[in-house]
Amino acid sequence: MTYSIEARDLRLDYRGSPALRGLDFRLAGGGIYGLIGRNGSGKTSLLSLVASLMKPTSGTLLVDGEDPFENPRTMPDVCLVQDRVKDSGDEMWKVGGYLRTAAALRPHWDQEYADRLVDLFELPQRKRLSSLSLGKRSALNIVIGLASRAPVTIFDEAYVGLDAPSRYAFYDEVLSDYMAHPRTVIMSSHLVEEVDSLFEEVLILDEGRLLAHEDTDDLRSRGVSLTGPTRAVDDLRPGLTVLNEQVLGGTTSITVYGDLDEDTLSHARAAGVEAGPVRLQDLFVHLTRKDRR
Amino acid sequence: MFDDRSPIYQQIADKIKNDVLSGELPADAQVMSTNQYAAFYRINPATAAKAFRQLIDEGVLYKKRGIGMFVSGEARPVLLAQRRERFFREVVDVMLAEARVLGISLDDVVRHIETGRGTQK
Amino acid sequence: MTTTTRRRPALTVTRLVAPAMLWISALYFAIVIVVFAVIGYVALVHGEGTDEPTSHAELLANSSPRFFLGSLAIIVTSTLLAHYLPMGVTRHQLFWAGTTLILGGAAAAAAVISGLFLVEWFVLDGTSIPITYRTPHLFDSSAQVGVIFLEHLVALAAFMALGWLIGSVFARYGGWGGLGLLLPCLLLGLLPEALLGVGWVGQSYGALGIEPLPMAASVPLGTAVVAVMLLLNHRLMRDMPLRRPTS
Repeated sequence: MTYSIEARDLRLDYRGSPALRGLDFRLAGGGIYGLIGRNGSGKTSLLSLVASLMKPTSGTLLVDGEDPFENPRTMPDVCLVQDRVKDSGDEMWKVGGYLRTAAALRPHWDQEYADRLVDLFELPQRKRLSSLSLGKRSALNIVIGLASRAPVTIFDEAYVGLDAPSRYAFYDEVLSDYMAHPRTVIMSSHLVEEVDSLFEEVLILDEGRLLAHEDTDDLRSRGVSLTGPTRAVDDLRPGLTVLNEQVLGGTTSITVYGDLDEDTLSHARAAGVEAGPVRLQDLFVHLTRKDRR
Repeated sequence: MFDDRSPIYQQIADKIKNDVLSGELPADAQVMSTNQYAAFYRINPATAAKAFRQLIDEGVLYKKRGIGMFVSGEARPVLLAQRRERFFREVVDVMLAEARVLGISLDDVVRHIETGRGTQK
Repeated sequence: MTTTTRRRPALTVTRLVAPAMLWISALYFAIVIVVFAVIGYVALVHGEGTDEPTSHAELLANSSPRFFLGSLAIIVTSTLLAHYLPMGVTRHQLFWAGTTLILGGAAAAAAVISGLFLVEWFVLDGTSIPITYRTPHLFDSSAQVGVIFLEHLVALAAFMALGWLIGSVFARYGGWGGLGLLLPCLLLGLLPEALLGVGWVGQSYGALGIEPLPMAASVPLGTAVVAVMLLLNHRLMRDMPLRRPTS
């Protein structure tokens, strides 16, 4: 089961200031979507709206074609895993009880899978949530997110406190369980280079606005670094967005964002310009740099 | 694992082509499924699927419904022809252009290659 | 795969929260019952000849459980929202879970209290000591279990609904807003007891010369005020955001 997610001029004011300033996008559903943005860019605000933790100030949000807020059909089918390593009731819950609660409330819960994940992440069933280490607390949230098999599963910086091996175990589980049980998965992350190959599409948020929403490969191929004689590099500039620029003697290196056709590129190569790849992470950093805003 | 410039699906397609060229994947051999590829390389299955779609379009692979994807019989000769052409365009032509810039005559280049071949034997 | 409990999230949440509430309340009642039993025993043995009212069940029931259960109810909104909203339960369903917990809790406590009155009546019935009360009540004998239950049910439900309402108001309007709305909430919460004309409020009626309403009017009216408080809770919870830091 997969749900689509659609936003039209979606706005949210949070504590008197705008957190989302009019978002328009549509996720067809049944894919792994990457949501990237700096701190305070509105990622968590957007995801909280999808999970109906808050109500939009204005605009439209649709999950599977319906307003998700207080929607008894869609709410149990949206599972938001947050980067909460501490929560208000952590002293009250034991790991086992917490998992049983999720099992009772999530319609598509798979207990066998949950047991397998508990073993994988070595979660102590009898411990209280408050006594778990940072990594184990995150792992518990992740187990719930995966085993819920919710048609919309969201991981919002869910890896906090996980060491690299556990993070990769998490990515592998997301991928293999998604393939076995297709659903709409949204992952927000700072560690772009670790996860970008998982994303079918990427959404970049900046200051509450949608900066880009593209097929990951398309987005990646739009970023090019051009290094060569300053004059030759300058000839290439028209029509391109220059994200970054470095000059060393007569050599200039620019990072550009835009469509560069093969012809232009081979001309440039002939003129001594080297075209190189730009990692998605760098593209993201340059696109959302403060002085570009 | 993947360089970031060319799309990942392109890199996967190239990798499979290389395996076909080197003979590691002979004609009618079954290739891994989209999902196996995705899990192995930790990539989105849609990306892997794109690579396979391209390879099917190019006639490198063919699909048996419900079973999987296989290397087509003409894959290797076609790829070899493509690569040979590309070799001249992307390696030899570029080398000659560089030689011209450095003032190395074509004869010098040919002589060098021939003596090189001599030492190799 | 889908079971009936999963289709009824309100009931599931009630079932999950009730044990904790029951444990805390049971512990509380065990303590106060022991304390008041000791006081009652001491008064029985040494207090002969004084004209102190004799019902210790009344002494126990008149205020302490209302305040205790009322305070317990303050955390209902924040607890339910914080824990169960992220698990996909709607606020509307959480409201019904809260209502079930409040009314169920009030009924259970009223039953325990009625039982205590009855026990006291059994103990004192054979003695020469008549059972007397400090404040007016809807009942005039400790054996009127039904009326005792009804009076305490309404009073306890009122205090628990009040506690819940205060919790919701603070969750919704923050510290200062909550303080500002505290007085109207308190007045509303005390209204059922005033309508019934029982407890300390009822006692002042005598001094003021006010005639209490007949039971046939006061009980439905008191119940209606409880319902109003529950409704206000629903309105407050209906679109309450679960505030979490943005990133």
